[in-house]
Amino acid sequence: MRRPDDEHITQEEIAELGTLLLAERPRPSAAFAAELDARVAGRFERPRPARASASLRPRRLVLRWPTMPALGATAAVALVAVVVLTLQTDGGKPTGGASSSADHAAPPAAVQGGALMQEGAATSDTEALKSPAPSTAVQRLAHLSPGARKVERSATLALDAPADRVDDVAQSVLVVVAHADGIVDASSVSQNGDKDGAAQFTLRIPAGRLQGTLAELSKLPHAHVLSRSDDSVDVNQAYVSLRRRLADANAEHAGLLRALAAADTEDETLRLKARLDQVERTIALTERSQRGLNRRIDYSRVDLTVSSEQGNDGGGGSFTPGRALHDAGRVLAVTAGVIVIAAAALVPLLALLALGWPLARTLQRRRREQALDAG
Amino acid sequence: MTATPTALDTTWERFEALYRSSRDDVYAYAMTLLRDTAAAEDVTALAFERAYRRRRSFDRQRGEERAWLFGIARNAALDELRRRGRHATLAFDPADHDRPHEPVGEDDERRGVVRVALDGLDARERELVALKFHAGLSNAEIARVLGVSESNAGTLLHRTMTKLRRACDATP
Repeated sequence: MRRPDDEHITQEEIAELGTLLLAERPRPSAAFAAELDARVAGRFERPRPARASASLRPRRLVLRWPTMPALGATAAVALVAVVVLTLQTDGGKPTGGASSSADHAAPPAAVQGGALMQEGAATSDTEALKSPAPSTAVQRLAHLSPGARKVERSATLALDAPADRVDDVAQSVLVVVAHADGIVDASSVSQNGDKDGAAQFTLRIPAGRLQGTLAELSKLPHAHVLSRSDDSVDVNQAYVSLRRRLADANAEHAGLLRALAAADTEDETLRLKARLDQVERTIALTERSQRGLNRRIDYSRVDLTVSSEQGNDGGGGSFTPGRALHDAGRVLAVTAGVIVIAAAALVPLLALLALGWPLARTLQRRRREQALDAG
Repeated sequence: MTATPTALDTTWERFEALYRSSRDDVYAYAMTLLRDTAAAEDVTALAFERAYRRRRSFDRQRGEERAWLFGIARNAALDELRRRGRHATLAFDPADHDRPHEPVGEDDERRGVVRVALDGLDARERELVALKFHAGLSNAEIARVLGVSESNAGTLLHRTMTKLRRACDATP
């Protein structure tokens, strides 16, 4: 094997060394070869036998680099979708009606004492609001005052309708009121094409038909209830007081007439006439007050508003092709938004991965090759 | 055992052909690098098992199958070397070498000199010799396995052979 002392090996020397190295090539034992052949034939279904280097097991299922981008992308898309959908949900439908203040536990004593009792019938559950059944407190009040006690009832009702349906809803309100023999004290309807619309009504509904009328108003086509509240005020004391004042005034009026007929002097006649005028004015005022009170008792006031400010084109109305088309467009818009946001989040991530992946591979290779230097 | 299989219909048939053509080469490479029979057998078996599991991920555009297979085998062998480094270094046992037969004549004496010189190389150099002469890889395939350029692989191999020749010359 002695060679000239040159630095460069010749091709002939390489060939000679190669021949010798090839002859020194290790060969597997027949037993190992047969065993491995069998495992390959069985497509590695059998477990490998334990050997000296038992650490050489198939890798456990761990997060490997190639799976990380997919998992990261999936998580990012899911996160963005959840955020967008959450925002869409919060910014969409209004949450029912702003309930009026309520003393749900108003004791009967308060009713009997003539105290104001507000019953918050409005809740966040608009379906419950559509119920024609009167509120519990109103029922209780009606039960406690069967004709003998005078109760002034009032209600507020807020409806929501598509912008292009506000006028139809307003017409339906008038029909319902007329059907109930009610009175429209005031009304205001405005509609700006298909973009916006609103209507306000001040209604007087016969007290006996109040609950039924409210139920009908709550179920108007193209509208759904945002809020509703029923108020009841016991005015029995005021009613009795007025009746008493009127009776006293009438009695005084009759007495003055008798005294006037029996008057002997001119001065007394003038004095009695002056007093008679005062009593007659009192009687007129009291009667006017009593008529007003009776009117409020007999006709309940209902403040009704119809609005379209919440953009309820896709609201709780019935299915229409236009609405379905609108919904489909909205879904596509949301989907496109999710994709854009996800892409915005993923592009930097993918850029980092594109830069980091070769680096990670190189580092992994270097780390492995350190074993060669250590050996 | 060095013929590379070409167009075969299924991935399994392709893998089987690769196994048949490369089994002894992978073992020879692992044995030369690790110098431990049991470890070399484990590495060989593990390399083929991993290659079988990943056979569908093989991309011919990125290189030939043998280079791909030896990349897997190299990772398994290096992992084994690292494990040894972390736990206990196995002493080289010359008896573990499955030599074809013991040297008896002049030719056998020359082979013995080469064997001793080969054992004196460091692991990186032994790996190069194993890939070239025991596994029969081309310089391009060696470059792909080692992650270097083909010219760099040729240079490294030339230096190693020069060193091996010197080691042979220095052997009494």
